[in-house]
Amino acid sequence: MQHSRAEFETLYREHHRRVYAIALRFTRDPDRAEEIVQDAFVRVWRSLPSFNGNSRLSTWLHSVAVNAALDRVRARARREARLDRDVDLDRYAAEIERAMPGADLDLERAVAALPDGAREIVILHYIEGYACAEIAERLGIAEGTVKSQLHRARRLLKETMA
Amino acid sequence: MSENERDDMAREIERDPELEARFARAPREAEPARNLWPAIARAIDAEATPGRVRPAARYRVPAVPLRIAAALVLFASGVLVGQRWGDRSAVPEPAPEVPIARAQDPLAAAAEVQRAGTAYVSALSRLDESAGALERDQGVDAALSALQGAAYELVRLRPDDPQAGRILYTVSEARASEGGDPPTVRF
Repeated sequence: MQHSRAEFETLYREHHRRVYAIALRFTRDPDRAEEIVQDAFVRVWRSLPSFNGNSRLSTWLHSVAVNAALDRVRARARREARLDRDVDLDRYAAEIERAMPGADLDLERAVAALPDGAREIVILHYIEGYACAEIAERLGIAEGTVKSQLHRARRLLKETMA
Repeated sequence: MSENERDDMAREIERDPELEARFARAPREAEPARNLWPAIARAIDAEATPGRVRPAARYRVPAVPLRIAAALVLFASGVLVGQRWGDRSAVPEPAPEVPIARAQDPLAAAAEVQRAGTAYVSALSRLDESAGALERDQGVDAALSALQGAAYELVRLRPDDPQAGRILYTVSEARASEGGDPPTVRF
């Protein structure tokens, strides 16, 4: 399927906010989230010829974007774990307030404070609407692990927001 | 209670309607603080047009085996040339046609082969980094041809050496699988 650059810009204008929201929640860092948006759309551009039209373009784009975000988050997490770098949750909360007017800041802060694995699963399940089996497949883990992580995450969220 | 009913009950216990409602209200979109399109546009301008056929895989695949084969040929040719010049000191032979054989110092011949081999491998490395598909295809074709030519020379130098024969066979097979012609470039 051929797309001109002008058509692709329209695609970007329609979908970049959704991709940025995913990336921001995954990374909790506005700068890295912007990098992921750029990376995701370059990947989408490269992958457009392989889009077969069997699914909606927005669904497919969303899937490519989530993969790009997960890849970047995980690659970066491995590097930063070695550097013991912390995430600035106050800066993240300020960005959520700016970029997502009306967001539930207590909930967003509680999700952001979850351990990495549980946070990814909570975002994919509760916000992005993926079923446990889909998350398991995407993350390459057992469905039982997804469910137990969700159970643990719910408990942690309740404790944090109590 | 059936298994399905037990599963339903377990799901109900697991569910937290209040938490789910809060998540349901969470925004799904966020506006970045700056316009990211210009950077994306620059990146995609540097890419090939989507849908354009990339260079044929048959020319991209052999890069590593080609280098290994080249290294083998160069190593073997160095050994063979060294042996040949070692033999020449014991048993006089007619002067060979190639320029390297006219050297007075036995080590000069091997050094000449080494220099040519280094230049060949360097050219292959640059070929790998080349952005142009057409140039790369033509370069790979020339590289395979040169490699086959070198293998012929090895066999000519040591007609009874099974290693030289195997190298020529391997390179010729690789060349045939690429749809190549008989060698047109020789060292």
